[in-house]
Amino acid sequence: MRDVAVIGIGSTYFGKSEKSIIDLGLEACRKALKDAAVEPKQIQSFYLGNFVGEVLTGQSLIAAMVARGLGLGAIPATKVEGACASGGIALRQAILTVASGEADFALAAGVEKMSGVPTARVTTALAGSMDQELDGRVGLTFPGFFGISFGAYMHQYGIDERCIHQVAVKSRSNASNNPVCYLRKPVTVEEVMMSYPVAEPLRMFDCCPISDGAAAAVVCPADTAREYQRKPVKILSIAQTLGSTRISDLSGMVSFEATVQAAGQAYKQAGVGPWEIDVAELHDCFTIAEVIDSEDLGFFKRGEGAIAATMGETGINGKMPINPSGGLLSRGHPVGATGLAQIYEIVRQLRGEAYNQVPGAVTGLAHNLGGCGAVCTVSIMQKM
Amino acid sequence: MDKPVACLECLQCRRLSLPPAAFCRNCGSEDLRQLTVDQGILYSYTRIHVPPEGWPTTGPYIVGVVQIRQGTLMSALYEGVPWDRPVMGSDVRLKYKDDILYFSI
Repeated sequence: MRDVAVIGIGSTYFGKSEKSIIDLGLEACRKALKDAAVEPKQIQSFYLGNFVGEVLTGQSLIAAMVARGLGLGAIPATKVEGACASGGIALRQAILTVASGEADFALAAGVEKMSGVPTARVTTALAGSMDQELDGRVGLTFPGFFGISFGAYMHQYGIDERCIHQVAVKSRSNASNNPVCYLRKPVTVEEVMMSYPVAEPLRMFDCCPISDGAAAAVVCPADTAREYQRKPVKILSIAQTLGSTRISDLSGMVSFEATVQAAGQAYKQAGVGPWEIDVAELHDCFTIAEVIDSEDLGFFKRGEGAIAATMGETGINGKMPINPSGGLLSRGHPVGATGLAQIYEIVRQLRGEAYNQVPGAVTGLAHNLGGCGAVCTVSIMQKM
Repeated sequence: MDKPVACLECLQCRRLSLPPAAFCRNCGSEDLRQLTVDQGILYSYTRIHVPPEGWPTTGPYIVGVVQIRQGTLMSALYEGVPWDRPVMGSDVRLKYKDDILYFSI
């Protein structure tokens, strides 16, 4: 297997867009190709992550439509779905196709269009990634699942809810500097606690907003990467794991085995430990998710993630900067696009071009989680 | 109509699987025996204010996760009123009514 590097990245603004799902995908891909100085006809494989596009927009065959719109050749154009981890899966497939030698240039993208439909329909579409015979039948929603996690975490570790809401405060503070983000107005813990109770103890500001957006990345062999990009970023590892697809597969709700396993594989393959990660983009679909992820990835001990966030350790100048972009909570979570949006931020960090630059960042990690901890990707990247 | 809660216990790895499951979801064994469960401990819960499309009520409702034997978790709808404050760690009863799993204090 060959070493692979990211040579181009592109992203739309996240939030509410007038653009169609296809046009969002085209915009992000076009920007990534330009950033890599690679022509559309040079791309030999295309993977696109998307989760609820067909349900919410009625548009299927999205990978082919975006590929055709870009002017790609007669190449494999494949849509992949792993709920909110669809983008991470698309990136992994693109990396594998280059690593195996099948392609010299591959394009990975993620896209979602979620605005303009009633919230109840979006809630139902997202809940589609829970087991409808069991957890769906009792009225459980995605915020509901993490509301239960939130309660369990407080109960198990004796943590005050304010420590978990603090993640939203940090997120908005980061987002206020990042024009890609949807929600950029700073908030206080009191404002989080006064926001609408979506699924108690989760409040509106504990939840990522329903959003539109797309992001993309171009990958090629690491040994030729400098011919196309002055600041290539090497992929040290990318792992994908299967976890639980029902609540009854879980033994607890304050940790996700899919993350623990993916992190273990990714660290081993990269030959680095969690203490060597300079910056991380985690799957903070809800404040409590960032806390749990930060423990599952080994950045903090069990039960200490929320305290660490409250102490400022996850801030840009903290001991372990987490989601300097603003994360899903503030950038927005166009579900299929998030995995690539995280790569967009980590690559910018490792190029030294981020809006909330972590000083001297050399090694970065991205973590993308789908379903009830059903699918996870963890990738580790390094400045070349 | 009220029905008992059926689980499948794997005779190889001893883990419980909830139907629908043709094989053990932990090890794939077909060596299963059915057992019924009617109680557990409340692991955690949420009060949902934004229901999915087609949900019969617009007001809030409580969904809990109940821990049964060997640490197996099950999601269940709360049978009481939505402004109740169930206590985590307390004993609860489980039953099926119209194919929906309910828990009650």
